[in-house]
Amino acid sequence: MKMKRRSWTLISVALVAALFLSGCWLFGITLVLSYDIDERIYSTDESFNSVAIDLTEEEDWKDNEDKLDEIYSVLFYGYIINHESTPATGQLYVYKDGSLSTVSEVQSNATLVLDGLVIPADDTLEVPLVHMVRIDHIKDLVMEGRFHLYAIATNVPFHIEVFDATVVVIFAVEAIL
Amino acid sequence: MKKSISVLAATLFLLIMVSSASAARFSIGGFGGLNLPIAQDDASSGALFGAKGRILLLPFLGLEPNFCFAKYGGKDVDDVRGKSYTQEGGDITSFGADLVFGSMSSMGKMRVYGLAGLNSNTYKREKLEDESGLGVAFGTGFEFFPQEMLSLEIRAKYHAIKVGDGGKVHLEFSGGLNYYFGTE
Repeated sequence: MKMKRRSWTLISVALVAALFLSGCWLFGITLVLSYDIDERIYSTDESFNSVAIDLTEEEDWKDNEDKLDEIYSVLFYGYIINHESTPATGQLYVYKDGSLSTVSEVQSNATLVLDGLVIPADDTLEVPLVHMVRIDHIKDLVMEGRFHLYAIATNVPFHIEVFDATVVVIFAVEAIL
Repeated sequence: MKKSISVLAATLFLLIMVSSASAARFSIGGFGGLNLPIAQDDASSGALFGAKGRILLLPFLGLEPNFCFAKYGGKDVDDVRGKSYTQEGGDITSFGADLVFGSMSSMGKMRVYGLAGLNSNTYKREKLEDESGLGVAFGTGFEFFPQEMLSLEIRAKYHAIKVGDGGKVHLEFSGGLNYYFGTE
């Protein structure tokens, strides 16, 4: 009987120790945040703008900013117009700020997160909610809550426009015990 | 990750080797049930199924190597420009071992036990890279013996998985059948 009690005690102590040593992922919470981008991206092979995404404005983000554990996924939704009379293959890039001013700068410095968005000539493509790729490359940037989105096309010349876009972030926060 | 899997496998192997010398009774069984995510906005409930063995190490302690496939249901992402999209929930394949403690060698027809364990998990989602992580499980179960060698079992298990630096947590409710070999 004594042995039984001692074993139960040992098991209990081990369990409690494991709980505290393992960290708060044991009680992780996953949240989904939708961020609507009000501005449009106008992009040609000669000039373009980027749009700023500031998650820190959002209530869900503000409430959990100091408890962020992980970015599981970032998704994109939006429309892309092709103003040229030839099809365009659109690409989306993420960078820390809006300082990039040439296509080659974007291609060499920013992170390509969506590729192969084929927009027919003089037409509009609705991009359904899709997962951005290379999340590991932009995770730290997204964790900070502020980043810029660029849109270019692989063919030259190009003239595209992104509007009514939304970025969805799926992230983990630790639960406070 | 490979290191943690190796440590887990080595621990399992050692425990099985140690127990095989003394264990006169063991069981194999299968189970199925419901996987309920806790506080996860990107997933809903899904089905789970798996297999496990149980080796009695001591009269009050058993070891259960186990394998489980748990599916998360899809979840709607609302308010995307007035539209709703269903995200695929993904699935988790896990293998590991639980320590089961209670009156394991009781000859009575009913047993109630607690369990705690470690497992290795792979979290898979469409179009995203697989993620692997260590998991811990705690729970309780109830086992009923209609015959000496056969038991019906229901259990509830809290299962937390480390995914990246975050955690995925779910409750597993399952029912199953075990067949016992050997004598107590």
